Amino acid sequence: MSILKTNELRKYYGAGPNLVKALDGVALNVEPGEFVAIVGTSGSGKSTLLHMLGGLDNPTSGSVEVDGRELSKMNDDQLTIFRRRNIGFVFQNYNLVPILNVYENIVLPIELDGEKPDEAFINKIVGMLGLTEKLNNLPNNLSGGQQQRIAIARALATKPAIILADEPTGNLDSTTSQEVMGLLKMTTRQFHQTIVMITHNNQIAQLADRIVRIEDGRIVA
Amino acid sequence: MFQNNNKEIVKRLAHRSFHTDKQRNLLSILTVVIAVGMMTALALLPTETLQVKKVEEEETPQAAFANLSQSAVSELEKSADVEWVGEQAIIASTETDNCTINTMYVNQPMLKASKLTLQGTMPAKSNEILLEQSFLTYIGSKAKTGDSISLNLGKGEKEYKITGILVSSSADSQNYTVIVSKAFIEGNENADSYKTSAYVRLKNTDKLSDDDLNQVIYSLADKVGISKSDVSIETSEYRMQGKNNASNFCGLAALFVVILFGADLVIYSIFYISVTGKVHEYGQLRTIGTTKKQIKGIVYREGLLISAIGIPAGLTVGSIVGYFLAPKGWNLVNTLWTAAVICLISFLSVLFSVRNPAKIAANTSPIEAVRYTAYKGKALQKKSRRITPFRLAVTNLSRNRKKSVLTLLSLGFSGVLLLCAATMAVSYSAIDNAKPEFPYGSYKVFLSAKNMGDDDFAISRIQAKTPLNEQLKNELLSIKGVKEIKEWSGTPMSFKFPNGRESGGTAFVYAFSSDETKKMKAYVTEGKLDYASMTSQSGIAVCYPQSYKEAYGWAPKIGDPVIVTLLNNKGETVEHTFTVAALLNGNYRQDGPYLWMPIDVMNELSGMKDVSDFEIIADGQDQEAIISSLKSIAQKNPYLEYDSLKNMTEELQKSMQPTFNMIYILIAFISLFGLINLINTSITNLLSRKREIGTLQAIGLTNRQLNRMLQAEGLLYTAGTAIFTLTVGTACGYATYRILKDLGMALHYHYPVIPVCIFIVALLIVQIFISAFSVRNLKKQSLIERIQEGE
Repeated sequence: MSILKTNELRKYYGAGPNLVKALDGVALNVEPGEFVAIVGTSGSGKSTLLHMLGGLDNPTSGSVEVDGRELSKMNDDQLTIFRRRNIGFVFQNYNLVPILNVYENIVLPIELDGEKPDEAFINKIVGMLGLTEKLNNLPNNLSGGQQQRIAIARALATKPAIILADEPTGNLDSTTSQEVMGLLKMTTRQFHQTIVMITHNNQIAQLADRIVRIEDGRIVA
Repeated sequence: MFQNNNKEIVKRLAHRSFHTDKQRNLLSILTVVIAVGMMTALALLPTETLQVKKVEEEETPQAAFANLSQSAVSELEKSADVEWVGEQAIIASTETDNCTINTMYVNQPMLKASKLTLQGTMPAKSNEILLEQSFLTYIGSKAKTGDSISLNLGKGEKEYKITGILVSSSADSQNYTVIVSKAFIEGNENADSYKTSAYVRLKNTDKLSDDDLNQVIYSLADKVGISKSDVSIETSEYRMQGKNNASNFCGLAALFVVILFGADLVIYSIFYISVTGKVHEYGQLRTIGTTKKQIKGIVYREGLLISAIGIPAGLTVGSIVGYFLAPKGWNLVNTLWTAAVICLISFLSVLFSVRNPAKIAANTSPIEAVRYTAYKGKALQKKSRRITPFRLAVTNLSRNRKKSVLTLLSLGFSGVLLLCAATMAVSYSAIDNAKPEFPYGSYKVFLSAKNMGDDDFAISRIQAKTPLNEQLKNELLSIKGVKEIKEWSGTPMSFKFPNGRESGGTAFVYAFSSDETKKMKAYVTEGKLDYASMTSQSGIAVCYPQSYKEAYGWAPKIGDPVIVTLLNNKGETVEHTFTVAALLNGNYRQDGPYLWMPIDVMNELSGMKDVSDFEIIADGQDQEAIISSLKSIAQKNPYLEYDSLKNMTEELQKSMQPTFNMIYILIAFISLFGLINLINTSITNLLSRKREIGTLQAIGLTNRQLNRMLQAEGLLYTAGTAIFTLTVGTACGYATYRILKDLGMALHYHYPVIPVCIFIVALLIVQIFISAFSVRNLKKQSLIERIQEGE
């Protein structure tokens, strides 16, 4: 049984001659533990697809199912709560909260859920990502690679059903990119995490188990 | 070679920035308009009221001459120094229909000076008269100008022709005035027995000092052959006000400083927040080659644009308000002058408040701009603390401490001003002010000088006739409900202070008994209130010494000699030197800046019992019946008046209401500053955090939690303001009360509970409104748009 499933997913913007079909009937299945890379050029619709998968945006038609639950059937707050429990995000620009220190950023989704973080588990992730020394720092004082590692830790912390990564290395130089990708792959393997990543970089995409190509809002391969 | 000809581009960038930052500029302009408008109105008000007084003053006499012959009057009229002469003679007093008709002759200037409005013409023939409208109403006559009426004006019932009707504001029920012509006097067989009084106003006296004016008056009297004892000098409120100009000006200047400080704080924080929010933009400009000077120029220019719109608008609003506050006193030259001065100081103060933000903007280095983060706080070391919406809010406020402190300061500043003004307003209680006039009871019957003409010692002359006697006391005690009569003493006296200044006219001096000293001792601040020694050594007690310093430049000290003059039972003036024995800061009765002396000393000097009031203690059953009994007693005796605690309280409340309304309007405006600032801070805060809030929502912050976080931020501001207001504000409020009290204002400290509650509740409401607005504003953009903003 797939952990992530989309059915005839469509997202249209505008109307009439200005109609833009960002997604035009996408069907995607991701199995548990799979590492899928979605590649495409700028404007191909890959970011839109990722936003739909994460419930950050509503489709024009079609459905997204995560772990057997259909996202479009939830209201705003239900979706938010579902997201913090089941979906981890890694953004291109890290999107860390500047006023919270590294540790607080990592446990934020758990705390927002009113839960106590599993300290042993967090320590393990933090250790693997090499952040142990940085826990009390503020994110803005750290390098891009370090910030992205914090974002990965935050995504892993809730043991989500799926991690969605949006150009996780887009802002990093190639050496750091390799390092971050290595860590991402290693940790997801370790914790048997499902991961969907979008990128325009073929070299990065090669690290995934499966590559899905998207062009003009449709899956081509 | 590298001439920086960049005026055009700086101008363009400033204008562009001005138009894109609409919300910020609207708030800044609004602040300028409020501040400038308020200052203009406040600056115009005193000069306008002074102008109104000056106009009224020109219709007011400066001296009165009594017991004149006709030749003396016409000589006065011919004198070159005299502006106008008001002539007045009392001819007869007759009783008709249970009322008294006072027949008088007055000329046109006198009529004007008496503030009587005449509808018709002055009487000329001996059978022509002027009547009061209220008299016609009283006798139930529908007579109009031109009609005839039958009256007894001391020559038996006769027909008189009404040439005009007087509309007077005073509605003294049982005393009416009928004005006759000069021909009426001349036709009278005993014409010479009517003593005429003349009220005189002199030419070109504005620049004269009080002493010089007195000199001129006495020499005029001498020239015409009027004895010094028949001369009385009228004190002028206008002239006294003119002398107080310096303290008026200081008060106004202090008020301006407060308003400007408030407005500057708001503009400063609006600009500061805007500039720190735009560091990125300035950095980019710097990167592509904008010089520091140019960036400074851009920010200053925005300040100029705000002034260019806000100041003229504020001046217009202020002038219009100023006009409506006192239309009679308004004049163009005065308004233009005021506007010019305020324009200059407000312009400078806007530039001043923009200075620091402009410097911050100019000092952004290109590199810094890219990395700029406003959060300079330290990370919390403890990692065990839970992250809740409330904690996020606290951390948010500490993100830019300076900004939070600025907002809190300007909110707190409003709160402090509110407490100062409100403490003053609520500490004035009409009943508390009326009560010292009625320390034990609720009614009183007291001596009235209103039928005595212009005589400083009228009360003393009445006291010699002992209208407040045992017979009256028994009559009062026979009224149903009346339980006890308290007798109070006091008499008018004039003073010469140790610095040589004279009181000019008389003031009432109250007497106290040995029994009362115990009660009065509670108010003594200096010296000793000892009845026996004050009696043997002619001691005098001074209430509110500070007010004597204000009025006469004399700061009373223990041992200072004060020469008093009073009238004894034979009508002779008696002079006696007293020594200041005690200073008081209030009193349980007649709470005001009065002098007090032992009753035995007063009675001995005057040679009679100087009873001035009968205070009536009654049970509260039938107030109306008691009042109507007192009314009929007062009607029978022209030297008596009555008053009640209830009536006096109402009158005081009515007379103070306009002042308090002004104070509350001022408070409302100042609170507006605080609210403008709060709205600006909250909205800018929100806009600059759109992406961050988006991230929080993406990783799981629910709408409810977001709402709670934003509300907590607002609540923290409210709590901070409330604490500041309640501590610093309360202290400042009490200090204001103390200062005003020492200046002799009759205040009784009360905490302004209701205004403070209203202020805090208003803050809370605004904050709830802001956080609701914020959530709605955020929903306008999708999560994605917000997360990607600024990429």
